[in-house]
Amino acid sequence: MNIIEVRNLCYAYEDDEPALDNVSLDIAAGKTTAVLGGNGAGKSTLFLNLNGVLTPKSGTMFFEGCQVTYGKKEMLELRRKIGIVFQDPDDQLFSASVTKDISFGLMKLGLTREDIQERVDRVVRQTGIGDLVSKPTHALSFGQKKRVAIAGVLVMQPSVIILDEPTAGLDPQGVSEILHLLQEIKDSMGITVIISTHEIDLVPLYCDDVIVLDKGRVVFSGTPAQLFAEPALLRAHNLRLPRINHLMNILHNKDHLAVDTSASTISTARASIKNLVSAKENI
Amino acid sequence: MSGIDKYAYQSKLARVNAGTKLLFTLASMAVCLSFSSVLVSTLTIAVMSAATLILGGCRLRCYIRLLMIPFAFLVTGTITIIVGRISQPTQALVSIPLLGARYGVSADSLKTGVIIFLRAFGAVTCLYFFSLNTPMNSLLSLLRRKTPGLFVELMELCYRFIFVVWEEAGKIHTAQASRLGYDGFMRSLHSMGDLVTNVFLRVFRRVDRVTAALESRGFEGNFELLAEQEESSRLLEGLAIAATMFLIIIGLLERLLT
Repeated sequence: MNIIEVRNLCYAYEDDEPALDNVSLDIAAGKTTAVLGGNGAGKSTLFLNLNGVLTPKSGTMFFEGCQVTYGKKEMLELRRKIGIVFQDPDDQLFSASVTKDISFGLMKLGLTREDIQERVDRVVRQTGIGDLVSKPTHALSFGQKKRVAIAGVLVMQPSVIILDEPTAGLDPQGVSEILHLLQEIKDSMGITVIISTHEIDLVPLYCDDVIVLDKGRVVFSGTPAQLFAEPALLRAHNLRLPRINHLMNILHNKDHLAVDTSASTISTARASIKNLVSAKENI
Repeated sequence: MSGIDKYAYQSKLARVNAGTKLLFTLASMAVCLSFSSVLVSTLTIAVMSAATLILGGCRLRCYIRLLMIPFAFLVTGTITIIVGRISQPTQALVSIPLLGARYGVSADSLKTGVIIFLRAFGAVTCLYFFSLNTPMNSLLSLLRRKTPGLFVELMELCYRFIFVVWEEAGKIHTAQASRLGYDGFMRSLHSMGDLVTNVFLRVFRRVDRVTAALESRGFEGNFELLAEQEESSRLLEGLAIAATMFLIIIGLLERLLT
């Protein structure tokens, strides 16, 4: 089932070139979708169109099967259901108090004080930021701020969470923590995850679907395996193969080894190489 | 995070109700200012410093270093009161003739100067107790209850973004300095000008991004936020009442006995 369907969406900033040009795409519910594309491909613009902060110039969008209308009330509801975590947490966290920042948005839902506190406490546990809540925002590291920003979006119990380059600027430890958190958000909370990223290597590991944008157009939409089977398409849009997949291709094409060229992760590549070795030993 | 801001968050009283601390500060300050007595002022200084150092857990070195700032101003201020023109030469403790009159220190002016100095310094230690033990977030929660929302919201946003902008300015400064931007006076002026212009432009761009982020989170024009829970401290309340009563009684006794 598709939770978001976009048909022929166009958007332009004032009178510039169109930033999104006739974009049509489907986002599957309960999956992780990666949006790839170079800088200026229109990823961030697309995200702001998806939750209604930017109103499309033309085209339609369906959310949970209903066509999105741009009335004030509907917009607030849409933004509650589709949360965005921005690339720079300093843009998103406006309060110097972590608890207060997370509670923003909940206050308007007509909940009691206890309910709000309860939901804040729960999301603090889920995102593992219990030891940060007593600190002021400006005392947190970049990665910690990122977690708080995610908590502030999760607390609204959205159906879809969009993360704009969630791993940019993090150390390896921070990257794997954030990715585990995203996996958990998807698996245990059933929230649909959309991420934009430049890190091709994590796409086969964490993403179920991929959309490639270039100059405001959708140039590919499918699974990671389908995408990585088309190296020419990747090159044409300034992307590359995952390193592991690249290695498997070289082993196959240059060294004529019968490895699985679709393997893109360490575990699949390992299985394929082990297979090959054990087949040779058995002869 | 630096300076007073950092000490306030590290204080052992940081999570205690800001209202209690504010009342204690105002009460002891009122007593100190209204008695105009060397004894009461000195005791106020002792009591409030003890409260900051022992209850709040502020390090003595930091405390003294912070107190040196108002101390320097107070000393220069009171010198002008202590030293002045003397009308009756018999009262002069030290004096020199200058242009047909005598200038110097008299017993009266010395007494006035010392009392003013101690009163002011006492008030400073009261305010330091508040600022070194109350994080800004806690003060904002307190203000939110009584002040118009708009002011507090502006304060909250300013407080948050001071650090963001400050960090950005710091990065630009480092980048300039590593390319010798602050080598020599004229270059420093140029670089500082560039820095200010850049910070200004970046703030403008950031405003757009912050607005988009706020709208994404359902911003409708007001910042309703969950009030943070604060502990009430019976110990601090008790000690505050005891200390204030103690200062008042000492002050009254001193008046009655002299």
